[in-house]
Amino acid sequence: MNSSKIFRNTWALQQLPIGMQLMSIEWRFLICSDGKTPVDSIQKRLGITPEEGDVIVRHLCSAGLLTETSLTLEDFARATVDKAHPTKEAQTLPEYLASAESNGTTRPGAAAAVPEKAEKPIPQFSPLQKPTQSPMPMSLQAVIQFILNQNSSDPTAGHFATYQVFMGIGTPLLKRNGITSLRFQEDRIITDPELQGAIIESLQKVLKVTCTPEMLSPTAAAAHKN
Amino acid sequence: MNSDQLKTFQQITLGYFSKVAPGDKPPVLQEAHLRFDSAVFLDYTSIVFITGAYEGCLYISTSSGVLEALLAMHQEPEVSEKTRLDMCRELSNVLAGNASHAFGANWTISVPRSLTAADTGSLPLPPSTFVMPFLWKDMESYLVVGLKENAKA
Repeated sequence: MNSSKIFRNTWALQQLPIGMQLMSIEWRFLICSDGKTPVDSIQKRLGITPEEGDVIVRHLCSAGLLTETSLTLEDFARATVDKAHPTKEAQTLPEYLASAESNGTTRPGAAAAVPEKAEKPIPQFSPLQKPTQSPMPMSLQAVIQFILNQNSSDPTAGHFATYQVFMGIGTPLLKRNGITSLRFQEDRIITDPELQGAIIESLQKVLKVTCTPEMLSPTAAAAHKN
Repeated sequence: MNSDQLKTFQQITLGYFSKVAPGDKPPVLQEAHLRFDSAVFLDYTSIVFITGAYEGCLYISTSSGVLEALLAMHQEPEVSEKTRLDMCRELSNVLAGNASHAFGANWTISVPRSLTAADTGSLPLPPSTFVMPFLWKDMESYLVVGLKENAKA
């Protein structure tokens, strides 16, 4: 994996399901992933190797907790403020940014995300591009609880209904999201809109009820537990 | 297939173990789970294929130890691959009978098959399975339902 890649949390920490468990190093990595700091800086800060960082990133991404992002022009430009060569000549913005980029000093974490090839006058970032909006996260535990609640007096019926709902979803789509098995206490955050749509569609078809994304959110999962 | 039929199937299938060893602790169902990658198999498997509103299979997969315990309950002195497979065939017949009883006339149920672990790789199984583990004599077995939409239904 390119260590200059940047990741951000797909959703706010306070929305995480109460019962969700990660290794300590994964929590630390997740918390450091602010959408501005590249992977190599986080690895350095946490004292882990690129290989270890790679494993953590893959796990957090497959769990739907991290998503790759890119710097805005504003973020990149702010990171150059203390690094650009002082000059008395007037510069265009690209010239100014290029001079900051070609400065031999250690670049700040955010700017490290820009490709290092000096011959490129303008770093390749995504200027003026707003970060993509993630869909509302869906909690697998909220999905399970929603199904079980339709059969609250009969756990076997609830479990079998859960099977029928997931049977109606293509296994390649589930596996693409890292879901190869499902235990009824398990939680996982689903951010793939295709899988979210397939779950809602199958759920409505099997249970013959209307279901909105809000009913399957991590907040709903926490409410079910309480 | 509905959950009442499934429960009937569960009960009469686990009831077989209780009947064979009436003085022992009955089998205890563990928490079910779903699998989406590969089906789970132990040493021996008794399976029937079913067709109706859905199509798929029902199977019991057990360890050698479970079959040997059943052989002992049947007063069978010989413990060998041959007698374990005989016992597996008996379980297959029990399974087929139970499936007919539980799921009734709306389902076509195949002739049961008895397989060793080596034979299970080539089975045409649905991609999703509902696995109901159970403990009998401290040994784990699996009662499994695997279904998919029936394209012809």
